[in-house]
Amino acid sequence: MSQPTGDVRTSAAAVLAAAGVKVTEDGLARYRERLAKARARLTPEALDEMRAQVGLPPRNPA
Amino acid sequence: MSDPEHRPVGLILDSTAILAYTITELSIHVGEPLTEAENNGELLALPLPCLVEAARSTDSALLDVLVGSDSVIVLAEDPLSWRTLAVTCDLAGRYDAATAALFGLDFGVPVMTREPGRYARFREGELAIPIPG
Repeated sequence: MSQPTGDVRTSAAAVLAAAGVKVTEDGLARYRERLAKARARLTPEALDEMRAQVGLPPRNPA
Repeated sequence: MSDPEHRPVGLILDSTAILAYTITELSIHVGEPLTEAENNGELLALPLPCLVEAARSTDSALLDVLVGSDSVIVLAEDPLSWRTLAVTCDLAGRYDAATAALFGLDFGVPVMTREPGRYARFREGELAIPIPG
């Protein structure tokens, strides 16, 4: 297991560079679309239903 | 250095998504959310049990890099939520996935994962964003 390197905060660009990741506008656009669809599914009603499933109260009780 | 407490959480990464960042052919699927989070002033949240589970599977120093990102926050579960966690564990089948699901429900945001089946019992998987491939 590697050892922690300490709490040196870095930008997303540095994180991407470390892993050799090259984010493109097209890729980002596709991700945005997937994220938007996922967020759209998480309506207040859907969230409250799932929260009730595990015993949590509604997020914004009336 | 940013102040993470004033930035909203936009996405949860579970163990498999965290691990994906260390795998060359999959790291793009974490790179894109990270870029988007930074662009939008949001945070990617790594539940502590998910980070630990990912670290058990790799000795990659890239985990340190990811955790050190300005746009990443590591979250520990509230001990008082032990009963809720137990119920969520029954649904997700694993403790680490349960914490990811619970943080997703807490913040009202999706969970990114390579194992969407773990979240299938939450409105037929609606909580999850599967990593392609």
